[in-house]
Amino acid sequence: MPDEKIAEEFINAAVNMDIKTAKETCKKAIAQGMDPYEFIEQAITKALVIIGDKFENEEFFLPELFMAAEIVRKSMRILEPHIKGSEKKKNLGKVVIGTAKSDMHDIGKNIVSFFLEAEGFEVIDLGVDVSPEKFVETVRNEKPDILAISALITLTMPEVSNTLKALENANLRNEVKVIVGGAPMTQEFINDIGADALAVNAIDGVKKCKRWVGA
Amino acid sequence: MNAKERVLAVLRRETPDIIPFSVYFETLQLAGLAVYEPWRKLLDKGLCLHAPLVTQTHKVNCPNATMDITHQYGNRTSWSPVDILIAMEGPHDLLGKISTPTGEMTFKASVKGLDMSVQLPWFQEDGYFIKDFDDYEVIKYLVENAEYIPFYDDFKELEMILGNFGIVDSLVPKSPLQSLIMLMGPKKLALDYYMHQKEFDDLYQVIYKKQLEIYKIAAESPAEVIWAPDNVTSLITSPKLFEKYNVPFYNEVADILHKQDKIYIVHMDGTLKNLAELIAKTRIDVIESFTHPPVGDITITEAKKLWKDKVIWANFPEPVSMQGQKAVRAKTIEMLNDAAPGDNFLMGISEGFPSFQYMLKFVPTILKTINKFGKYPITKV
Repeated sequence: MPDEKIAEEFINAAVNMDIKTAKETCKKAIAQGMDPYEFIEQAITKALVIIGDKFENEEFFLPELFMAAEIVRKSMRILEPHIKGSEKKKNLGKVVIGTAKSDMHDIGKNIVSFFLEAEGFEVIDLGVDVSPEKFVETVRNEKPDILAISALITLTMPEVSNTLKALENANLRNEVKVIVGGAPMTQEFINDIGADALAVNAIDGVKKCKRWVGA
Repeated sequence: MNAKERVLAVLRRETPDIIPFSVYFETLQLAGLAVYEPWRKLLDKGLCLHAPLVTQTHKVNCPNATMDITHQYGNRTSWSPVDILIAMEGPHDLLGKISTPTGEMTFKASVKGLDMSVQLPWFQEDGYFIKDFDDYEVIKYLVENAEYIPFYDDFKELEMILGNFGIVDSLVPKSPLQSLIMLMGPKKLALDYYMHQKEFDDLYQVIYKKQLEIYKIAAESPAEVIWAPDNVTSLITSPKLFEKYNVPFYNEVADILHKQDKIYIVHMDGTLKNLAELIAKTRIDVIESFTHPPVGDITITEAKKLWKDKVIWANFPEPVSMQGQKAVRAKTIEMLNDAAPGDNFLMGISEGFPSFQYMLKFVPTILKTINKFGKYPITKV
């Protein structure tokens, strides 16, 4: 079977949330001697673009994003043992991500994290309830290209602002792009606190990060 | 009209004198609302207390099942009596173990403090009740063996306490799909739905069937208003899931409740644009905590057009409260204008806020604005 055909089969399976066929296609690609990186580029990355677009067009919702992440995770488990060396691995840049202090809502943050990694970013996930001090310390030590902060409730919005102030006080604000996401966030708030961008949703956030690194 | 009459008039599809405005009684009760003058003054000016979360009209018993909960306060090396008291009030983890004849199940949740009426436990990804198929069996045991007994004392007592200052709902469980989201988290729900549909649907049916018993008890109870805390948002409960699971359940229980002239309220505080047409197909009476932009994604005008037969109990969007009095007043006027002439419309606050003092900064502004511009029928400003 031609490589394009296998890739197409994977894309169809992934878009239809058919994990069984998706896994079988990965095995088929390996058995046929297809370069795993070619397969990732032609099948997995393209499937994620389609799924991301469907999410943005509101044809897909979080259940489909979770399932897509699972399909990719299981597919990569099949492909990884066959990947030799890391010279072809994309590295778009480094992102530090976490939810604002006192905010335990991590669904959106986890989805963004997954898609950033799938796109080729190195992601340092600080988890939930991250203090401004912790964000600052990590930015200072890890020197990321992007800092992504999520807050889902109004109560924790001031902590996003406090993190921006802490970066400023540590003279790190100009060293990193800051993107902020979460249901209560508005462009007005983003402007007020001096962040660089608002992630309207997970996929929009990933697109903006890619744009910043010229991908 | 007093605050209670005003709210009930709208819920019964009658006309109020002024658009009712409510806050959750649960948010305020522990602050000593009755004796705190600034709040008391607001009640006298028409603020209504809405108590949806406090009372149920049933009790539940599950023979042969036990639950142990441990409060975990992290690693500390020294404890004085004062340390203990302070720490107990503070953020910590809850570790739980439920034992049944069919197996055990654990859960882990984070809480901000001991007072869980203010902040519900937050389940971490690995802390939900259902983590694998063995847990399905434990949940099935708990559900199938639960015995529900009508119990009206709490409801009657709270109704007496609130008097004309508010209304008391009978709390019923989240609908089965929303219950499963709570039990297994949105991620596992999505994966099990797509990968293990048969097992998922079996468990769903067990919960569905049993929940009807609770709704039947609520229908026979003295409560006129029945409230389900569904927290629907289309991001998690997608249109596909909502149509397959939520709509049939809502309609079956709506029929049960309507036969006894009950008012069926469902708490839907998320993004609803993609569910709007499906919500229109349900026989739910009231969409409560309806949240319009910037947090929600449909305006009151759009919702009223789509849900002509439903009452909309609109939540004042939280982020606006941070933008100062002018913004609060402007948003209140905008909401009233959107709802004009105001049929089937109430306003309320159904969110958590940093403090009661914080709420006092903007609740009086909303109330004052409604009292000025919200007389029924509303004339657009």
